[in-house]
Amino acid sequence: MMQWGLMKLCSLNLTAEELALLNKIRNAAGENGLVKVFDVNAEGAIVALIEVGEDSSAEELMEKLDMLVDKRLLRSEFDAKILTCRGCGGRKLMPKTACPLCGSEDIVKSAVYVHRCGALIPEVGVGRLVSCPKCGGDLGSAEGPEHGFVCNACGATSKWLRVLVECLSCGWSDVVENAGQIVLRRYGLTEESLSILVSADPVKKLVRRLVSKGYTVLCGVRIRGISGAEYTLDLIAVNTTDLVSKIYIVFEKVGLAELMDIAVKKLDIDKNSINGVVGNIRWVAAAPAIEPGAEKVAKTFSVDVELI
Amino acid sequence: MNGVFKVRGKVLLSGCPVFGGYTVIDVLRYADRTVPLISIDYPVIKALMGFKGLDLHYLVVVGRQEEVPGVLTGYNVMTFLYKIASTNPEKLWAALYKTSVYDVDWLTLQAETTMSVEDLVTKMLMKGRGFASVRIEERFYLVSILDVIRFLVSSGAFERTSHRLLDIATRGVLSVGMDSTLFELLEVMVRKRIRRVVLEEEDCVVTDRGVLQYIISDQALETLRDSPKKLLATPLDALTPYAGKPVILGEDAPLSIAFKKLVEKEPYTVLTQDRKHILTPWDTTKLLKVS
Repeated sequence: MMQWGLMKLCSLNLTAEELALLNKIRNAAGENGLVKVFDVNAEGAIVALIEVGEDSSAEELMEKLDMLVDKRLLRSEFDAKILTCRGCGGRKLMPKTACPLCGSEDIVKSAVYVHRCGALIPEVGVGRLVSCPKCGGDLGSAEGPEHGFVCNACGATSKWLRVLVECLSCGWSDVVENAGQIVLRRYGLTEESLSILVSADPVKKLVRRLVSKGYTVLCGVRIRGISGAEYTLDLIAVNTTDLVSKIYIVFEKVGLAELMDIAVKKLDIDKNSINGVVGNIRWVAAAPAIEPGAEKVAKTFSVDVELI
Repeated sequence: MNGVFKVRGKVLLSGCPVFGGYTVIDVLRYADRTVPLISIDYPVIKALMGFKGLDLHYLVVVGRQEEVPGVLTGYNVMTFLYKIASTNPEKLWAALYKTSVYDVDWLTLQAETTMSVEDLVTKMLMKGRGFASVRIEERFYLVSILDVIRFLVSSGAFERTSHRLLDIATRGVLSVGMDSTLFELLEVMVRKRIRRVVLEEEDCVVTDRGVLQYIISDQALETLRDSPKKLLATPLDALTPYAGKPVILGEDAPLSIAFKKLVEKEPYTVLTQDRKHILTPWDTTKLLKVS
């Protein structure tokens, strides 16, 4: 419920775990910026190729990564598709081919000719027949040869095979279309996540600090004040464990003008109207520089000052 | 500006000994040079936060094309609040956020550092403004009529006149009862164009700055936001922490004593013992008339 409330607020929210994941992807990325994060073992189980916590499974990791893709903090590309057994889930599948008409596996490759009426004529038949067995027309106009198959059981000629798979572990067998499949993707950072991890931008630096301290961070929260004015709150940091929420306005420096600015917003915004904030709510003016005397003025507004 | 000139139909004579040969640069030493500058584009509420954060008497407003700074005082804010409260009190909070300082402040008079103090006071009287701006290089400084008095008191200038308190004090002291409301107080001060009102039972004086200090207190701001009408109906006893005791002097007290006492502390007001006369910084301008 908490996460739902936060998700509604803005395009980005980030937890400490997600930040750690982004860092892992960044560290493991190759030249193209993508990381092969998953593979499938012989038993058909997905295994993570990067370190996952003891309490977490590869499937959970995949969910988390896909959630980061949804948040546009990761990009993903197709890596591989693994077929699995519908019976036991294993990946030891043996492919088989069969006649698409009778299902017999006694089917062999053969060159075929295609008559203008659409009839397929095996290479051996071209010498024997004087006319098309389907329309009775002249065989001279048949085109080919092309790749095809002839069934020794029913004699049918076809361009395609029915492909089956048989599980070597449990014996389950079916057409390949009915096999299970796992799609693996490779993951890489987006420009946004890269900037969160390495940017010297004060907001991004603050995000890194807060998230590493266990806060869930929301960026660029838009809200309407009681006066009707609209504001963008740079960051909202929520710590559900300690029941503390901090509303950050980030400046280049914190001086009187900046404190006046945050005080105006603080007065006009009903804190109960901000979804997701919990417990003790503090307003914070943060910047890479703080002017002398700013902290004293901030106290008169009940605002905290924080150096980034 | 020597000789004879008229202000509102009255003939004034220059050359009052009190003002001596002093110039504006002398007075500047008594002006508050730490007053921050704010932009004309700021909403009024932001300016109020400036008053609250630094406990200021006024703010200097800059950003006009003509480069003449404005001044925002408690009286400007009070007038603004009264106008909105008279018509649509429910819109008070939104008005604070949507009205820029440009629409509320006063333009200041301009003065040169070499201008005589007498000319400065005369200019203030002629324009009805208690503030003048002085530009030194790229920075504006504001000189108020109170700064002028502080300077004159410290230089002993008032010793040069034999005038008594009663000679320049204003007859007719306006007062309101403690059962009056904040809105009624605003009405009296704005309609009568005065910055000081005596609170009757308390024998103290509330100024425009006192009203402003009350309005920007945490509790009053919250009430203004949540229920403006409730704030306007606040009885005046809520304002007593923001009112000050005036100095009480006899009618014959020398002006040198009266002004010395006046500048000592807020509300910068002297009342005669019979409470019928009031001396405020603006009464300094009457020294020109007396001359």
